[in-house]
Amino acid sequence: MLTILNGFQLTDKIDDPILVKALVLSDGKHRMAMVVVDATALY
Amino acid sequence: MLEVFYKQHDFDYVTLSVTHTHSGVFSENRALTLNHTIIDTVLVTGNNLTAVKIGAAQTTIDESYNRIVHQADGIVMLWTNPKRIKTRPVDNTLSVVHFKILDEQPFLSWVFYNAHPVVTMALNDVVISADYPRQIAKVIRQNLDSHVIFSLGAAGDVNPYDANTTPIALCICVSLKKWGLS
Repeated sequence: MLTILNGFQLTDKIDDPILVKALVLSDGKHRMAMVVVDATALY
Repeated sequence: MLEVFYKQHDFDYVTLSVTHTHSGVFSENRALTLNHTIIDTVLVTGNNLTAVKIGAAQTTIDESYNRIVHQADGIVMLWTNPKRIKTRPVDNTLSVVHFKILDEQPFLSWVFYNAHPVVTMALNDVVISADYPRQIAKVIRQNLDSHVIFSLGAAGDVNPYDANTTPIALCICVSLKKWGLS
């Protein structure tokens, strides 16, 4: 089992069908961010 | 944007991916706003970390095919394939990376599959649709109550068997309503 620190965030819905999703992973020393711009997330 | 993350906020690695959609919209004048949104979203995320467990699994699902058919006199594009005619091999692995909070509550499912999202595509109409990834996300949310991210896998020339079987009227209705045209 791997235990890490994780954060996940969605932007608020804005006035077009695009969401930004971000996932940040950290082992306490290093940080990695993965971002997804989802053009169809609202449907 | 990457310099902001690396130089101002001490990130070691940042990846950015964008939906591969055949039925979405994006206007260039949103680009600057989008940059700020991405930066803000990541920084907020980085300040709200929680401990999780990570698991991964994969299986194969025979719901996609190679749309290029090689014939003696050239190639033919098989745009839809409801009869599931055998074509060249594709990597139809469905992979999932799942995150659980330490109390075992599902947190996030990140799903990968190879087929272009073109089930609800309409060649002659502008429609907005999240296509089959939305259905995957819906089922996962109903069963696990977790966040969902979908990423396209090895999708080169790969269609879902039911490509272009659009419930067009529904898609157009949704699009018109979204843009205030109905």
